[in-house]
Amino acid sequence: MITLTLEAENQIVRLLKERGKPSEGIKIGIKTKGCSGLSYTIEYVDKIEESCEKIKANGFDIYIDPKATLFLIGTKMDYVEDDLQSGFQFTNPNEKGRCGCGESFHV
Amino acid sequence: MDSFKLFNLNYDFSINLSKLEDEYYALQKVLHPDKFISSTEKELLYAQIHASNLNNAYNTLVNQVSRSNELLKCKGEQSKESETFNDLEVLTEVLDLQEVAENINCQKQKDNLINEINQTIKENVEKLNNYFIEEQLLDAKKLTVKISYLEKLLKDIKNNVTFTN
Amino acid sequence: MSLLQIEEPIKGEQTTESEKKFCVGIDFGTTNCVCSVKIDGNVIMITDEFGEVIIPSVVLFRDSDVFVGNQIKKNIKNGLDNRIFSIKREFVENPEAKKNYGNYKQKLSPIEVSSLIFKYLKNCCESFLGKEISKCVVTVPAYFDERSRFAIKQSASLVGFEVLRLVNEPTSAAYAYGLERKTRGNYFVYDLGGGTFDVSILKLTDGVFKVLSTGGDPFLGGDDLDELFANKIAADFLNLRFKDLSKNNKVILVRKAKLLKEKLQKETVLKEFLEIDKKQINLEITEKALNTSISEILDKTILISTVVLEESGLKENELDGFILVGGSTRLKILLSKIQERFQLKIFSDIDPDLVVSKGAALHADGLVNGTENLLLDVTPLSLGIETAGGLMEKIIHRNTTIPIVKEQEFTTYEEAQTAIKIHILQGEREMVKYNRTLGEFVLDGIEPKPPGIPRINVRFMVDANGLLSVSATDKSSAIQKELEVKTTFNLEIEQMRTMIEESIKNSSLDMQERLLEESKIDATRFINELQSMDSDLKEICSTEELNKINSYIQLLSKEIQKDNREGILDFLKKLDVATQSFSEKRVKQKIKSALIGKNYDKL
Repeated sequence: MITLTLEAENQIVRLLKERGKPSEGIKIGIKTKGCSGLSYTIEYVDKIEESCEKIKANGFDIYIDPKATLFLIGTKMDYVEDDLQSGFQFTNPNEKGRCGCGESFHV
Repeated sequence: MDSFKLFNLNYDFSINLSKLEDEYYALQKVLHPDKFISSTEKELLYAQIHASNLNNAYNTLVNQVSRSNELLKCKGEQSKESETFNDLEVLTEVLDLQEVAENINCQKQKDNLINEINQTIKENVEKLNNYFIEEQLLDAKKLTVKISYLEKLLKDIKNNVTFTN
Repeated sequence: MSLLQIEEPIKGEQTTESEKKFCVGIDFGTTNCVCSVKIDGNVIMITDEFGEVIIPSVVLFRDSDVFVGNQIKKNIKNGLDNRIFSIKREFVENPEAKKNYGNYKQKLSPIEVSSLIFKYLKNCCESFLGKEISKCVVTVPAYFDERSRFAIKQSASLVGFEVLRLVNEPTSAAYAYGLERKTRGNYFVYDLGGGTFDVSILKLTDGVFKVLSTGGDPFLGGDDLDELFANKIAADFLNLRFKDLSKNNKVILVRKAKLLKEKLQKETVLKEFLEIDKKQINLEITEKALNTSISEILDKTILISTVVLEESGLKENELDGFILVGGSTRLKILLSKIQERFQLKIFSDIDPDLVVSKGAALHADGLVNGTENLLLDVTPLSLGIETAGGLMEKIIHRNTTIPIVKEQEFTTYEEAQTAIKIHILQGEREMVKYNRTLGEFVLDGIEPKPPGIPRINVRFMVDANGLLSVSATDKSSAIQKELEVKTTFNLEIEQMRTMIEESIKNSSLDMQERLLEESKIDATRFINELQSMDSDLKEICSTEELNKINSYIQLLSKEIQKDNREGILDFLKKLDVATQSFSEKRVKQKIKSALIGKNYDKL
């Protein structure tokens, strides 16, 4: 349900190694607290939560917070690095087609 | 994603409605546009579509006929647009009931008929559940059409407040 | 979206009180407005410069000044005839129609007059809280249609309010009760305000407030009770009909009636003076006279309540309580009528004048500062579009949980039709003419094809405020048109009232009309199809067959004109038989060229 680019995979493997303590994997969730609205979160996992969906990746496990599932279907997780900043980003190439919305909706 | 998967339910016709409701509320609490009130328009729209999908999926599963159709779809037994229903036995049964309904002329008769149809629906839903358990999908499909006719008839009777005579 | 890092799993960051945002809850009522805000876990009622919580929804123009609410009572002694009352009622008629209000030199629309009240409320909130306030939640009658909702939102926006959410009044009231008491269960909310009547049935589960069904009457409220009572007083003591009184005297009498109505809740007989046209009239009024004059309206609200209960799918014994909202619910006669019909625990301990605003403040706080609670509201009226023959096809049915997106496919009706009109409607009746037009637009550029072939996808979307947007797409060409429903028409208040009343009792009558229309559509379509196949007919049929077919077409057309369903069905059948051999031959020909179209099933 989610795909990782090679860059993302490599970076996660590196970060897990560098973390300094063993991890069960990473967890992807969404944050809806306060008025910040929707944003993705990525955390290290120390304790596996039953409710999370587990996805095997190349060399580590990804746990998906059930709340985030709907927002993650069909997304691609990428790792970007340029002169100014580096980090992960989620892109959803199918967004328009999948929800059938595109530009046609008004809010 | 189909409605069953959305709410973490097995592909069974018989579902735990209170579990469904819990799942529905848990997801709505996260996805509802109220939770994205200060977000960008795009995110708000996204939440709106998700919340709407949840509402549609929940309604699909709560109603027996649409739940059955959704389950048939998940099991690859989707009815096609062009398919016409021509089971004479079922049609006759429904038409007979319709005739009875048209000749109602007092509240008591109406109540009796409503009870009768409710009972028939209940029996058929049990039968439908068994068909799904036995994986007799073609029978399930046929019976679903029958139940939908009965539900429609029931609704018409309830809505029709004036009596013909 | 900004770039993310993998974080250490730290839980429970808390927003500090100073970072919290203020969002006020506004009950914008027909007779009174109430504002409140949640601070430090408590709902605080906001007061105006006179320390009053209840701010009358009244506007008065004096020279170049505008007076609102209690300012009028405190500052102005004469020329009160020009006060503008109950502006909210005019939203249901036409919120954009400009007219003369009081003595103001320019014509104004209800939206503009209301915005003056919103402006005053904003000032009150800001001076009370000592900071700029821009965000608010505004309550609206549950039974308010889409256009009135849009107009209320617009009116608040005009003065710089950002309306985060429109919440239905009964839902808001239930929210106030549920949150303060952590109640679970099914509740009936009965809201009889100054100008509108609403009922909703809500299910409360673990912080989720789900509306199951809603109903009401946007033209029924405490103001009507006062007027009915004034009618009675006029008949009994002035020997006059109320409607024959001068405008000024009407206002005086209604105010007196309102006052007496309140006093009669404590006493059974009252002796008062009424000064009218400089004459003093002795009144001796009994509680019984009051009750008789308003009984009919109250009975009507009970009837609507019963229907809404039925629509919720719940039985009376599944309900846990009956919540009373709105000042008019203080009437003893109403309470006894409710208790007579529903054997339920009555909740009225939160001030019925303040409870709606309190709920709005709680909801407002939840929106900006986060909450575990959730409101799931419904559409009060069905939404749909006009299809052939003046019928309304419902796309979103009333009492559907919002937000909701629904799509439906439509097709053309005439040969080579290249444009389709999307006429958007709101209401419950089968026939378009009995429902309310919300807007219309034309989707053109459809490729000319035989009827039934083009696929036009119409999508309705109702957001969490109950506001609608519609788009239509021709699937083959991807031509798309859309419309955010705006206010574009006029509907008389009486028409609207009849519309609501008749929707309850006329479903069977509608059915007859619908059957007739359907038969007319079938017949017309058949004739059109045959005419479009004219050359085929001439080629395939014998002269004898052709004459027969043509004469049936003529006879059928006559029956269509006469609106005679029996005749239409009769000739339709005859025409069907007469063209049978033609259809068979034609289909065979078509099979040969391997082009079987779906619409030939009909022949």
